[in-house]
Amino acid sequence: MPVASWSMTGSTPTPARTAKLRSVMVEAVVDMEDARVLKAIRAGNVDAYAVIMTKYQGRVSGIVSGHAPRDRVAELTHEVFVRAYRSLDGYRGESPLGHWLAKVAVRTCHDFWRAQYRIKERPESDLSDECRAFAEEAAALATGEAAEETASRREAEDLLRWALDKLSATDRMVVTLTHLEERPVAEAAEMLGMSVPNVKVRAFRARKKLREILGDVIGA
Amino acid sequence: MDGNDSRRIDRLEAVLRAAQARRSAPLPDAGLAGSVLAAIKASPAAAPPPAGDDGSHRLDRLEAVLRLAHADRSGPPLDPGMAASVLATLKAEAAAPVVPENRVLWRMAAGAGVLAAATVLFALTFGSGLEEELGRLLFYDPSGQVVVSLLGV
Repeated sequence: MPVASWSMTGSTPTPARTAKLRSVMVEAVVDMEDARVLKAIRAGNVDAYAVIMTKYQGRVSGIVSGHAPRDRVAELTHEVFVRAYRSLDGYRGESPLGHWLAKVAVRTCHDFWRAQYRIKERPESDLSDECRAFAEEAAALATGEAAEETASRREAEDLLRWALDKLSATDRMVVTLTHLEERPVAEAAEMLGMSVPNVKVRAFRARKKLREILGDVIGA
Repeated sequence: MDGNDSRRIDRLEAVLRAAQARRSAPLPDAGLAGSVLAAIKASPAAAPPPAGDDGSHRLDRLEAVLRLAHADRSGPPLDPGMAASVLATLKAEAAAPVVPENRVLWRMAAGAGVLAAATVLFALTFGSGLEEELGRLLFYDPSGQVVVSLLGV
């Protein structure tokens, strides 16, 4: 960092302050790139949107895969980018584009589940014996290492999906964001477009219901 | 109780308090720990912990495993053609023919329908005195002559 800038701020350069300023500058440079591409898109160059999609496809796909069934991830990721393009006029640049796309992704997943729950013929699967046995085994684990190993088994994902299917669409989104992904309540509320008190109450009730569902499985 | 009795009681309390303070503990029993442990081991097995506590811990462990499973969840591989597919969708939407705005036409049709219904109602009730009332209301025409002249009747 040039000495002149530190003297202007009146603060003493330290490694921590320098690292923080560098990260802010990098983010500013990245945001400037996005701003340049967005300007081109708003000027009518639709093909420039491919730059945004290529850059954020991994992030959006990761968010969607955390909420939606695996076989619908590609379709929903496609839907997220289409919706994002349609609502680009609503992006004012107050937050990084990645954060804004994350919000669009979460709301798209929320709409997906609301549509799924409206379909009366949605099948409610029974829990397999393997999953029940897995739940008993997981509930009796003693060490964290064993938990890591056990979590990688297919039954863990099946059990989680089965339990989340028992919740409402909004409750499953809230409990996934706040309890499974451990995001702050304020962040989850912003992503879902709900108020913080609403998310707090829902998170508490949804988690309680989830524990009751899991408790019934292991007989607790 | 008079003052004398009260003072006597105070003195007695002071004596008893002093006696309590002077009480000395008995000599330590060297075999106390052994006898206590023997008594504990000989007693029936301790009651199991409340079911709620154990169930809660098991649920906590199960939740922790599921949380890890969610964190480790991997999505399908990225689709390299997704960007092109999205662009194709957006361009198709932009090129789609614009459907003419029908709202104004529907409103005009609705207005004409309301007018036709009002005319029919008016015709059916003509002669009942309703038109005079309307004339009074709209034109302050007590005799209804304005309405009659408007209708050419």
